Amino acid sequence: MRLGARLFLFLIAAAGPVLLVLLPLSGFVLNSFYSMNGSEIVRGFSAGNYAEFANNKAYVGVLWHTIWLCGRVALICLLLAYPLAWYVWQQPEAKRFPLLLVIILPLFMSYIVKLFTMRSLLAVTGLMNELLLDAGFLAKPTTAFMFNENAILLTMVAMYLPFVFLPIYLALERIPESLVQASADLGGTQATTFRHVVWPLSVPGVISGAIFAFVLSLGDYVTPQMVGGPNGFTFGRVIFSQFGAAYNWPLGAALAVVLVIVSGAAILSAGLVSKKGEA
Amino acid sequence: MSSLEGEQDLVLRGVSKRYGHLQVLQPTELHVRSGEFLTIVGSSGSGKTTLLRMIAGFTNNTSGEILFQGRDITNVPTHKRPFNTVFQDYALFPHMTVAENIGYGPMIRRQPREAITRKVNEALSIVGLQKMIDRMPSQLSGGQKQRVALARALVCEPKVLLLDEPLSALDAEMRYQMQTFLKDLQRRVDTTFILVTHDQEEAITMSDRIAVMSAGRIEQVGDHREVYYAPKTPFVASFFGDTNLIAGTLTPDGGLQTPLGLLADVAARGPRKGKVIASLRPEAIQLSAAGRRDAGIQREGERICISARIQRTIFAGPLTRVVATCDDHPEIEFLVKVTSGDLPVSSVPGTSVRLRFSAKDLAIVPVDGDEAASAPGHLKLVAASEGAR
Repeated sequence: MRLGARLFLFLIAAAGPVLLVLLPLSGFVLNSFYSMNGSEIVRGFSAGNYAEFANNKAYVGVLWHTIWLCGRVALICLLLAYPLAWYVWQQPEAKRFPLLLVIILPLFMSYIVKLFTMRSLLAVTGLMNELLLDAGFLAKPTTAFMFNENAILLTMVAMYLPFVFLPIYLALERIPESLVQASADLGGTQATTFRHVVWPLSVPGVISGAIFAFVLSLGDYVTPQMVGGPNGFTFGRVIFSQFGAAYNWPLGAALAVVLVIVSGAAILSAGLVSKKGEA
Repeated sequence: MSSLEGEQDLVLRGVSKRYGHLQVLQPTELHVRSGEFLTIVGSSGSGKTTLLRMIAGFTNNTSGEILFQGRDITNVPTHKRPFNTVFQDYALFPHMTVAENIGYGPMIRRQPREAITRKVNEALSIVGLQKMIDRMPSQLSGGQKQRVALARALVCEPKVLLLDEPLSALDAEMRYQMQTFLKDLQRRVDTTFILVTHDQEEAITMSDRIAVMSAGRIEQVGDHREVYYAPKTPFVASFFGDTNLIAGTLTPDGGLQTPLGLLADVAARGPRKGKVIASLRPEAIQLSAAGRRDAGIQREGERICISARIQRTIFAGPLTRVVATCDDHPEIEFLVKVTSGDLPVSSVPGTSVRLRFSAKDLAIVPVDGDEAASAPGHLKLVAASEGAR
């Protein structure tokens, strides 16, 4: 191919990511170095916003707390999604598709609709309380699941479960049947086969699933706002408030950049773990 | 059958397999002798792989039982059967090195580390891949993967080694090498080998005995001479190489009556009476120039001579295939194979020739009712190597 044509193709391929990701992101980074004078944005370089983040124990604390929360979301999602994916994988092929459809279906629903559904499930007069009361587990309705961190945790798990299920399921389905048979043939019980063949080969799916849950919940500020109440304060909400109530865009941008770095670090380290597993 | 059963043997009694309404394997008897190299050969859909998978325990049989060393193992799960399989796609664990793959069996049996290392090295030296010990499967060629898969199975010291089309993914040169290697290996390790293949030549060259399968049943089990020279069914007759099939009837006094006349006295061989098919190998026919007085069909004791006319000749390397029609019965074609340099006559179509063969070379195959109906009593030619695949 001629050099001109190759360059042209490269530019077309690069245009999307540059225009849609890199440009807005660098705008953000740029903004994060500006500062505020009253309600005016001062377009001069200073690292003041980052210093403010680092020196403010509240910001750092909320960040750590959010990371901890999102880590738990990812972990619980994994614990639920893996057995589910394994179960679907074990089914005869004709049964798999309807099962997959049921599990994936929530992805086609609006985010807001799902949030309100979760609210009605978890509320004091919600379905969960009613069931627990009817079953006799509770004497009176509990508030343990509404407007606090438990609510955020449960809701996020429910929302992001399909995102964790899919990569695990796909990883399992990519394992050729003959490998499982070979393991049995060589004397492996189902448990040994799982430990030495199925699990190692599904780890890449587990890691992508965990990353999906972690990164998605890290950036989610609507769920905490809708079901978290005053106690469920996450880093996403802090950023949101800088752009809204506090009207401090440069600081908000700086905090957002911090979040991007955390996400990036998580994805990168997951990539490394996954690579190491392959080698 | 039972009187032949050795104590160490693998015996399938009336095993069958049905998926829904589809009967992929008819009730089948098979007796695998300890230490033999048995090849199950058949085209795709003949049930040969199903049979192997049942022995391995990957598939349950719908009926019948599988006995090994006198013990019923029908319901014994795969991992407890003393058999190991070499898979068609090799099924090497992609996340393990060659050493880890081969050591998998001993490892999950919790054998000590030193023992595993020793066994892995032994197995690698048997298959000649010592240098590849730390490679990943993705870094191996097809032939090397094949050898690792073999080593991985052999390291478990199976009583029976099952090979599922192990050579089908290799190129011709590699396949030939592996055929010789496998045959040698089987003698060295002194283990029963059961190999499944669709390749007739592979079956004939490698095995002690061959089980020919078609449409979910075993047509014949025998050594290579038996299946080639004494086929028991028309399918087997046409399965291994080319042959001429001559439909006929056995007369009460043991003669073979065909459209070409009373061809031979075959009372001593094959069935006593009824419809039969005689199979005549193309290389058993001698071709010569027609003499001036030769005409029609003549019998001189065991020798049979037929006047014919060349229709076409096809050069196929060392052999030339000659198709000739019978003078008295122009609808009847014979396929003859002649060494290419020795074609005794002109190959021009229309040339008169003499075809000679001995009645001893006619294999008499009994025909079932429905098959007899499809063979309407005249000579027909089957280019089997093309047709049966």
